[in-house]
Amino acid sequence: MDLLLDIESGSGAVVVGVKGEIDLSNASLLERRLLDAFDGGKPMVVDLTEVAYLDSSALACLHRVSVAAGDRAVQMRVVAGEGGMAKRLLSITGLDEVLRPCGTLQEALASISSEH
Amino acid sequence: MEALRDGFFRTDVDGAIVEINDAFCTLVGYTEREILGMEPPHPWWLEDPEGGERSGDKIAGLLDGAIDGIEFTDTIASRDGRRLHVSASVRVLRDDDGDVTGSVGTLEDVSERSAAQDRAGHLGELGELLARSVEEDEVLDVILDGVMRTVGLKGAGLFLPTNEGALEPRRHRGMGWTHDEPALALSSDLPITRAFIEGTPYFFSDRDEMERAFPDVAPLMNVKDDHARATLPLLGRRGPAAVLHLLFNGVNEFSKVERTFLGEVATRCGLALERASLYDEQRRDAVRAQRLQEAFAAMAAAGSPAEIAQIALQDAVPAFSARAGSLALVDDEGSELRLLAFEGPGAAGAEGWDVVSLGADLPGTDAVRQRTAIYLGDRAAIVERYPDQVALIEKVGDHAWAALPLMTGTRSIGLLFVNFPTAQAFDAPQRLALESMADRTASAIGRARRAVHEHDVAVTLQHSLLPVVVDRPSVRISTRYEAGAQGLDVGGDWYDSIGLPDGRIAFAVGDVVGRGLEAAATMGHLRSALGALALRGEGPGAVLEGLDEFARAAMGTHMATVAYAELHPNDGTVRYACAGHPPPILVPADGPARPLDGARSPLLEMLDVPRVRPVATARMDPGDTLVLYTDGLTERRDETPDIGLDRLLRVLDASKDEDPEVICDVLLDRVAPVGARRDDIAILCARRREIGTVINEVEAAADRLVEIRADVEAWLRGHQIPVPLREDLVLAVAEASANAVEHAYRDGRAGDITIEGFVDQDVVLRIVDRGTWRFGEGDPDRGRGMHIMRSLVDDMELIRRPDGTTVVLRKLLAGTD
Repeated sequence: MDLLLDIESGSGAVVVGVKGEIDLSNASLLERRLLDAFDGGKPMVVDLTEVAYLDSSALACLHRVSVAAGDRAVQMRVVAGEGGMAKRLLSITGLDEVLRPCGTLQEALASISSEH
Repeated sequence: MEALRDGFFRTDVDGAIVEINDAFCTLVGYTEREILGMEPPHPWWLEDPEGGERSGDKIAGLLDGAIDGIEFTDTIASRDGRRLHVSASVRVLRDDDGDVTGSVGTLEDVSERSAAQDRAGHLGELGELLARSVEEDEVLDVILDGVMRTVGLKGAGLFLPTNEGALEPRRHRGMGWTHDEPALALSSDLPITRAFIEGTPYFFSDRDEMERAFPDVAPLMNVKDDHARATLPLLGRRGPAAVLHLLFNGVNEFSKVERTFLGEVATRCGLALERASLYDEQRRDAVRAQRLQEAFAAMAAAGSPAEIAQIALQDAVPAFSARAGSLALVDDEGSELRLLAFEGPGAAGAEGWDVVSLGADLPGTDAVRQRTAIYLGDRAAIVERYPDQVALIEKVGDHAWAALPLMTGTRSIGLLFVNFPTAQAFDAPQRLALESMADRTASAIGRARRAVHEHDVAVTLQHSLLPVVVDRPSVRISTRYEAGAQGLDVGGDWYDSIGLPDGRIAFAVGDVVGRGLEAAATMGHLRSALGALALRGEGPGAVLEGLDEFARAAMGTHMATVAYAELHPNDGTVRYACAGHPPPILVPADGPARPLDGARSPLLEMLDVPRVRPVATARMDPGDTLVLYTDGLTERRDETPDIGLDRLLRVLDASKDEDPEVICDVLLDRVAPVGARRDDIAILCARRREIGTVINEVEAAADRLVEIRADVEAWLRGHQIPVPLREDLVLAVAEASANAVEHAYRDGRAGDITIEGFVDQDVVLRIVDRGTWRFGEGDPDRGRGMHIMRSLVDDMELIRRPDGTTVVLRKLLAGTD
């Protein structure tokens, strides 16, 4: 399955851009890669705007990663875009209330710096 | 939107809570500030009633690091006293050295889910109780006792409409009511009156919400609380029958599922209530009709008022040595007399009298208006009172008139007018004879008019007892009920279709032998009993044996027949049994129609001897049609039953390519055309859907999911399914397939997934595997997958069998762009 991660550990945050499709075949891979991408206490942003397809396995993975982030006291933001599939699924399952996704990467980064 | 609101918490190594989300606070009922830092034992974990370890202790026990996590379900006590059923998953957290640093867990409120399992049972139970009650008072009690028990309430009240345009509190249970609740004027702006007028329910998550929406309600409140309330109109087919007002234990957000459930409860109560009032009305009419029937045996043959009038005049004119007689009826507005029949030499005597204004100054109109007979014994008497009539009496040769009002009760419905060619003494015996003729005629006409009304009531009753059958993703179902043509000639024919918990679909058609109200009411009871028995899932034999028991216990002297079949939509297996009923007909898509005449046994028992009912099996392939019917469809007075059956088979062979809706119409038209119908008719026509196209068949493996998605997407595109629907369906199929991959073949056995599709007025997709889904109640990921599927399609059936699991998804095409 095509899954491309673009991980950038900048000064303010680790930004992981996810591209491709996420399903049962690669959700656990994504989970490991995201857990590996934690960089100390640096906030992490997972950007899903370029994801062409995702399913409930992907949501489960994001939920577990967010729990792990909480455990490490790392701020985590999910960028789900507006009106896309990610946004819709998060809302159907109610996970939007847990992950509180942002519309854009800028918004996510701004919300992090505002808490610093 | 109905969100999953998982509570989340994290503890430190000592079990003290260091992080939570809002959902967790909501679940346990404490504020974040109260919870943070809280050390075990945490107050929401209850003692195990059987003396086992508290869930809180289990969580604390994790922190010694022996195991990595636990999952369990338990009941917790929220601070406000609510009991919630939760599914919990807790994991220990370790640092890089593997030492335990704390724990993290989620709590999912599954009260809704466990409640859902109880609900089907509750509804069935309520339905059964309602079906057994006939009188309105009885139904009101059953409704209140039933909702108090099934919904778990603090109080419930029933408001019924009065003739004076108000809603009157008729009965209540539990808290929240005083003994002299006022009646509510329909013009008042209150939830109860608005629900009644609008026919829509109101839900208030707490008292505040109600009082904000309806400020007028506040002064009427006589209890102090902040609880949730629901105000449900109980709708019958003829409109709202009552309003059920529910007071809950505590606040309640009313999830979609709860609203649907309460709506379902209200529907059942509404229909039962309407049935009860129809029953009362019909019973009164029936008793009266019977007495009239006996009293007027002499006018037996008459069907319509005109016929009765004709008979009366033919009798009266010669008997009284009259020249002529006329019979006229007052019109609906009460402003005119309209001639119904005339008996006399030639038609000339009636000319100009077809319609007479009731205001006219004539003996006939005076008699009707004054509701007394007017006798004019000679021409002098006529001319003295009605000088304008001189020309008339000379022209027709009349010497005396008698004008007799036709009275039903105190109403004057028409006129019997007799013209005499000679002067008359009009002595007492003659007056008596004339007046009793008028009485007899009036009564007979009244009866004929009521018969029309009674027939309407009986038909309404019958229809109110019959279910609204809806299509299922895997089966297309059409039904018909046609009442017999005349008077009280409504029988006890019925049909039903029930979705069983494992995905099987049950069909039944039955006939309660007998006519009129009693038969129709018995039919309602029998149908409800059958529904309850079918839901037990023990198969056709057990259903009919249960009905035998019901018949012995509850049906009195009514004999009844029933044909019952269960279709497993996964493989088309049909198991069926018939008790004294004509055989169901199987109409294969590619072969001749044939009766399913295995499993025949006698009528439902009224004897005290239990009987084992035989069951037979047949198979319906996709596209095949099963037809259940009552003998009113096939039997004609002058024929043996097999002639009717042959006719039915021939018509089915000729029409089998049509839609089931069309087949029902064709059967009525050609097998039992209106002129040949003697009896009422019930038909149920079910076609297994042609889900023929195999879109893909792949090994159940995660890396094949992308291929499934691509193939389903291409197939949908090929059928010109618009993009938003396509996206939803691809995702729903993918979720169903992922379930099969993860859960169907867990024992290492390799297996396949088959995806089939069919497009009609809707898109139907079936995802078939040959394994058994095994995922625990508390598996949040899969629960999420199921939830996603349900949200994306209009219908989802999950059919589990030992040899495989099938998900059927349906999405409607109509109404989309």
